[in-house]
Parts: sequence; structure tokens; C-alpha cells
Amino acid sequence: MNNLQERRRARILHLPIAQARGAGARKTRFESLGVYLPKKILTTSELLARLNRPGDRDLEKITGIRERRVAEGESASDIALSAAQNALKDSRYRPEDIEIIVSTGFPGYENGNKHSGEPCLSARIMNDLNARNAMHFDVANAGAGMFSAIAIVDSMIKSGEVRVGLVASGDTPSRLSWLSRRNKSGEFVDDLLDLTFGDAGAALILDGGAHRDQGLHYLSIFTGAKAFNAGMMRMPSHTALEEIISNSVTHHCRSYDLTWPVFKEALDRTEWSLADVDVFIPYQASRHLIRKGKQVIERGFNEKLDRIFVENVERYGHTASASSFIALHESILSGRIDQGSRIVFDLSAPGYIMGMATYTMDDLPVRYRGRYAVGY
Amino acid sequence: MRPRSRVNGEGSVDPAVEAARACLSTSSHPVYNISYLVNAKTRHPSHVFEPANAVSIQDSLDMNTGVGGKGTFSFDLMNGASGGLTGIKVIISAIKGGAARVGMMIAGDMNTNMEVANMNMGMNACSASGSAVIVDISPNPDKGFGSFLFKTFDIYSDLPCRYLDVDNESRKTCGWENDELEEIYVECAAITYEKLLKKERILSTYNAVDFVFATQISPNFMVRLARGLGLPEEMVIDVTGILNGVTLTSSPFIAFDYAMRNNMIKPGMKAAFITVGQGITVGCAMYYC
Repeated sequence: MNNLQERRRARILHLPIAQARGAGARKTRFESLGVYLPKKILTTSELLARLNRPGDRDLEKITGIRERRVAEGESASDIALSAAQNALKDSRYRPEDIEIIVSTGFPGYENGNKHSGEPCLSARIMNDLNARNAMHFDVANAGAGMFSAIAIVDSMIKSGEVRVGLVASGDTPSRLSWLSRRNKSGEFVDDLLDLTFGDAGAALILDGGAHRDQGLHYLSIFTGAKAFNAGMMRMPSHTALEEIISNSVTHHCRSYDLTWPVFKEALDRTEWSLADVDVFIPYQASRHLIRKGKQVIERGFNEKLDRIFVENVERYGHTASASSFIALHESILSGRIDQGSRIVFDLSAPGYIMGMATYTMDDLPVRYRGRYAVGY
Repeated sequence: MRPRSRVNGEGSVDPAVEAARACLSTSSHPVYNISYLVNAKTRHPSHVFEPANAVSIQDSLDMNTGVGGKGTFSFDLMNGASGGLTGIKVIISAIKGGAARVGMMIAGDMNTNMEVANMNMGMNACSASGSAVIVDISPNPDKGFGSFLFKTFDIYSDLPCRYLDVDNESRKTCGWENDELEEIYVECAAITYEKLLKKERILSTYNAVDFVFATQISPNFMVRLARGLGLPEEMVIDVTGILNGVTLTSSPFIAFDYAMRNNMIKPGMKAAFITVGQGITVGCAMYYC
């Protein structure tokens, strides 16, 4: 941006010139990470047995999901809150430093089938954390919810409107496995999507990173808004058992067409080559879908991705919005992601929503492992 | 900012789409210029929670759908009655942060069963309505939105929550006392409004604004709000009479539209948007016409 452009930007955005110059250059970073996984582990064979449908499909083989975590007596906001509390434990910020809270995930359904219209769930998080100076709201964008929230807070940090933000996701989609196995005619729904889910929460504290070569370099999300009813889910009620209207194959076929160009653009805009990438974290839906996406990118580059590829659906299932950050958590603890690691995140959701993010780690992995080493 | 008004219909998506079409019809921006779409809502129509309702709205508007277009980032936002104002704040941040040039906030309120809701909630039954606002960079730095302020009064966090019971398709409130709640709303709104004026460096409430566009809760609330803010009643625009029930997230913009259509707004005027909802969350914004 030249001086004239900077001055014009400052004038039209009503910003000091220094701030206008800084917009776009200042990097948002993950100052702290917190995840929460419910204690109860449910294997795929146990799930099928509970559904009284053992053996009709080899679900584990198809999806690669051996087990998942299942919330018992915990709501989506309980899980999001626990993740947020974990993020705060290792943060240098106090709750009162947080200026914005964006809650996302399995939206609005609390205490069984009650949908909380007002107040939003982030109000509860704000209250329970005692983050009294934060504005707050909820965002719903299916599996892209967490990255949508990050994009919002990223803009606010870049524009200088806030210094510290909290993004928290709580997902309890596993309950759909029990509620939606039959349609209105009482027939079993022949779709596997609702059997892939696991419950999880993730939270990030975001601030403006000190180093320009670290943090969030690029985050792009776009919504194709076609085939939006592929992957449509609705909350069933017991007065009319409604199916999850899902066609994950349609959704993902459309996504595959875009995976490589979107990945390539993310690298180009970050001025990285594939060789610069240390870790690629795809959206964790099922092994079949993840690997199909991987193959598409490999074909595009004519190069294998095994060196950088992360997959954890075997242990956690499809954890929706939180899934990328459960994978990040595991990769940090295993030492695969370290200070300076260059990461590409893939995001995908029904709608169809596509996006990529590129990120260079600061010292978060060192601090994070240190926290676990002392018995977190 | 180009808000357009209430439409008839059920479900928050249909009214929002109609409002968005009306908004686009008078905008200088073609639909493909909208790169940021925020759908403010208070519940999930037909209990569909995935994908975001913004996706189907984007499709209905044929807004950069498919591959290879300019691309639109769309999502749903929920902040009770303050959702619409929050959506505008988010779009402005995206513009300032370089993530968008033009954004659209659409707000829809719905009630699938007015009869049941009226029975349960009386005046608090929600009316189907929609509003839409296109936000871009003002060519004149002295016009457009000024400061925003959102405040949640956590001392009232135990007050009634508004929830929908999916099992019996009805809205319920717990411990809802209209009169008392409206008093608390006004008290919280007045505190936040005063802070907004300070943020805008307006030292006196006298002549601070020409109009207030607020959440349309009841005729009584509008009068109380005017008194609480120290303003003449006619400065707090009341359109409850034409709304047939409460409108939540969409209502301040319906009131703004009403004022525009009736030539009440003149260049140079100042307006405050004030939204109140449970939490208790208050949103305030200054707008320079």
C-alpha cells in the first residue's frame, strides 16, 4: 500500500494513518488454546449395539472411526465453557481483559430439546468466566463455525477495535445418533453422517501477535450457497421424529472440486510453496472423506501429502467445528507442531462452505506442552 | 445504510429474503458486490441448524453462488434482540479490517404459531418480520455510523430466558413479568445510552440525538424508554402499532425505515439505535444521517 492509498484508507475508514497502514499487516495469533473432551468414550461397535443395528454396516471400516467422546449430562455451552476455562488457564490475559467473546458450535440447544433464543450462549460464557468487559454473540456456520468466529475476531483485531478476543466452540452432535435414526415412517435413515459424530469443545484466545512473521497469515471462507440442503440437519422432536436430511456425498463431491484450487490459493497468498508447509490439518469428518480430499490435493501438486497430513477421526469421530483444534491440540502435545511450524487448516461445511487458513506458530506449543507436563 | 421494512410471512428466512430484495432494489450496489452476509436471527426456523440459514438466503438472492464468482462469506449470528445491530458492527469491523468492502446484514424474526405464542406470552408474541441493511464505506467521514456500545448487565443474568421448547412447539418464558422487565430494560438502556454519548464526546443529553430507533417491545415500553433517556416521546419512534407483536432483532431498522418513508429524517440529523434483550444485553449505536 503506497502513501496515497494509506492516506485515503485512513480518511475513509476514519482511522489514524498508522493504524490504516497497519491494517492487513498486523497478525492475529492464537495466544492460548483450550480443548475439552467429555470423559465418556463410546466405541463404534457399542454405538451400533445401542442402536440395535449391529453388523448391518461395517461403520468403523467405512468411516475409520473407532471411538468418539460422548457428553453425558453436559450441554453444548457446558463444553464450550470448559474449553474456554482451559484456554484461560495458560493465557497471560485475565477474563476482564477479554473484549469480545464469540461462541459457536452446536447452536442453541440446551437441556434436552429446549432451544435458547435469548440470551445467546455466549452470555453464559461471559457470565461464568466473569469476562465482564466483553461484548459477546453466537455464530452458527455448521462445521466452519470456529473459523467463522476467528475471521470475525481477526477483523476486529486488525482494525484495532479489540486487543483480545475469545472464540469458544461446544459441539454435542452425538445426540443426533440417538434421536434421528428413524424417519417419520419409522424407517431407519440410511445415512451414516449422524453416526460419525463425537462431542468436543475448543477455545482460542486471540490477540495481535508481536511478530509479523508469525500468527494467522491468511484466512479465506466463502459460501457457495448451492446444494445447501445437502447436509441439512434439523433438531428432531419426539412428537415427530424427523430425519437428518443429509447427503454428505453430494456435499463432499462439490467440496472436492474446490479443494485443490482453494489450497493452492492459500499457499500463493501466503507466499509459501508446498515444501514450506509443516502440517496440514484437514476438516475431520471421516477417514474416507479426508483421504479423498487429500488425494485431490496430491493430484493437483503431483506430490504426496503424507509428510504433513494429520488425521484423528479414529479416536474422536467427526467433532464438527472443534475438529481442527482437537487435531491441533494433539499435534502440539505429540511434538509434531512446534514453535515456527507452518500449518495449513482446511475448513469445510455444508452449504457448501470452503476455506483455508495458513498459520505460523509462535511459542504456544512450548507453553502448551509445559502446561500439560505439570499435570494439567 | 439502506434498511427496508417488515414483510408478512412465516419463518425468519422468508421475511429476511424479502427485506433483502427490497434493500437491494434501491441500493447502488449490485448483489454481487456483497461479499459479507450476516443473518441475525433469534432461533432456527424449522429447527434447521445446519447449514446456516444465511446460506439459503444467499442462494435465494443469487448472491455470488457457485464457484468462480467474487465470493461471499455468509453466516448466522445470534445475540437476541441485539443481533441485527451486532451484525452491522461485525460488518463494519470486516470493512475496517480489510476483509470486505460491502456487507449486508439481514435480520429476521419469526413465529411459527402466533396463536400458541399469543396464548403463552400475550404482548410478547413475536411477529414475523425482516429487515436488511447494506453497509459500505461512507464517502463522507462525517456521515454514517459512529460508535457502538454493547453491554451485558450480568446482575440480571438470572432473569427470564426466552426459549423454544422443541417438543411442544411453543415458546416459553420463565418468571416473565412484563412490567418489571420493561423497567429493567429501560434502566439498562439509559445507562448504556449515557456511556455511548460519552464515547461520542457528547456532553449533554439535551439535543444529543434527533431520533431513537429501538427494539419495538410494546407501546408502553417506547414511552418508558423516552422518559428513561430524558427525551420527548415523539423522538423514540414507535411502530409497535403496525407490527402486530414484538419484533426483536429486526425492529430498530423497521422503525428507521418508517421514519425514512415518512420524510422524518433529514441530512445532518443524529440518531441512536438502542436494542434491548435478555441477558440483559443492550446494544447502542450512533448514526449520523
